[in-house]
Amino acid sequence: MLLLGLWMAGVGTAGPLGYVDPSTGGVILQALLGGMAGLLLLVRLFWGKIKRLFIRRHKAVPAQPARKPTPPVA
Amino acid sequence: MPAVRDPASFRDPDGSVYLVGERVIRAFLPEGARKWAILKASGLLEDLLQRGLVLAYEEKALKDIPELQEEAPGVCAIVEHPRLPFLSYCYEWPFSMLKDAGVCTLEVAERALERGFILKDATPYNIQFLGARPVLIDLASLEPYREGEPWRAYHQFCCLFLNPLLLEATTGVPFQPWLRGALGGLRPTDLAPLLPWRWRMRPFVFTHVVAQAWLERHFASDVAQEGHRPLPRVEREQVLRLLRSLRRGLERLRPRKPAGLWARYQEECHYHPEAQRAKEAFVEGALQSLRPRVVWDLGCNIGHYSLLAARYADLVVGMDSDIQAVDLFYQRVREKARNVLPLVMDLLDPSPNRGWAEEERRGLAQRGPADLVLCLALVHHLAIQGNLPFGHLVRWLARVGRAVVVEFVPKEDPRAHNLLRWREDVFPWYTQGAFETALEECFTIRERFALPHSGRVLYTAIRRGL
Repeated sequence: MLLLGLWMAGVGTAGPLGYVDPSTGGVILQALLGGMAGLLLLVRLFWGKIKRLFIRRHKAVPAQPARKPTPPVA
Repeated sequence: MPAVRDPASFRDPDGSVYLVGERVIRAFLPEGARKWAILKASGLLEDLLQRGLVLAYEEKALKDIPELQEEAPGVCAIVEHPRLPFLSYCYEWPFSMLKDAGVCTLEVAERALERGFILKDATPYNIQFLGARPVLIDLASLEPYREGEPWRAYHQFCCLFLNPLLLEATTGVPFQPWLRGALGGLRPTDLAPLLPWRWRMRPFVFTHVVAQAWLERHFASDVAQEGHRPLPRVEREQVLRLLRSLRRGLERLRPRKPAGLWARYQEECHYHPEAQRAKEAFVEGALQSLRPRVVWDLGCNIGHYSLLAARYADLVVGMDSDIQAVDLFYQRVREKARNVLPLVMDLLDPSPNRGWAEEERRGLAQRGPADLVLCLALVHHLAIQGNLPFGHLVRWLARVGRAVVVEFVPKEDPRAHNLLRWREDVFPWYTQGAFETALEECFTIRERFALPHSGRVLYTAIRRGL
């Protein structure tokens, strides 16, 4: 959602869909190969990804309890 | 004669192909007709025709084909194509043929884009070989380019041309079984994990396979959740650069496997020179007397007898299960023979009917019968290696051919004997007499000839009931 929002906001778009599915990978790759606009998209795509990874990691840190030493087995 | 829509022609909303008796008609619906009119006026088609990149066509008036109006009332424009005597599919092509078909597709796309048109789909099912020359048969694939549009067919091109070729070039695994198993081809996400690491790091492979697969895996679900979206803007120059880069990359690819056993067969198999001459004379005699239009040469190897038949027939379809032998054959005829079509075909497992309703791509037997079938030095392979009874073989030959030139190789022949080296001889029925009896069930033997210095026997036989 975030990715598409950024995509729509910052990068130019072209016409409606044709009858052949261009596939997500194929379309983004062509945009990336397209120079500045592609680079912008790349940054934004990665920004979304990094942000999500960051949020996940950030949330995960306080959830981890501090390690206690294991009591010796009798 | 009623107009029948070609079972493979239903995806494109701009039009379809109809068969009216022996005639092949491409019909355009209103939007397709509008695009067709722009294409015609551009001069692009003349350029592509001159370069031999597209199938010939002739414009027709709607009133010329009244049958079509009943079947497809919305049609606005029609063209007629010459009927091709044999359709082949990408899973029957060796490496060099798929590569040439891919280069042909890219060349058309590039020339089209230079003149303001785009190839809206890029599939090998839109390419046919006229003899050994690939041509684009789907003229409706060309439509006016809208500025800023990426190449929508890029992913399809990768799945059906680039990735299968890369699979074979990088791993040595033949692509034909994959294409036969998946009409949509080999997706980047499927190919990427199969690639050796040193190949993944090459810029061309990294861009078109590894990066594309990564993007597909990570972003496809995001986009799917959003429903329809306009495509990102890509400049025309960039699309042209992409097409040129793909073409350069494709042209550099080579199959990894060395020449196989059967590719060396012609050199290694030593017929006595007199037997060789006699066999050639016999086959030539049959060709002269039968004057076939279409010949199938089963077990063609590198095409010695196919080329002989090509002197007399309009089209010779050579088939062999050895992919390297067929590739070698194709390279021999690529530049010179215009009426020879080499194909990869395992007769013990021939191409079946495939696709929607099992009608889209036709099986081998549905594409016959040929006027003459050459079945030379093959019976012992099918019968002994494939455990195929003579009766089965002969009935199938009668289905696919009106006449046959067939060679019987006795069990004592070194070649047949070789096949029994590691296995029990469970073929007491494998005798010349039993073969003739089976042959006469479906054929009338017109000529019988024992090759000198060999126990082999050649037959010319005509299918009964003709």
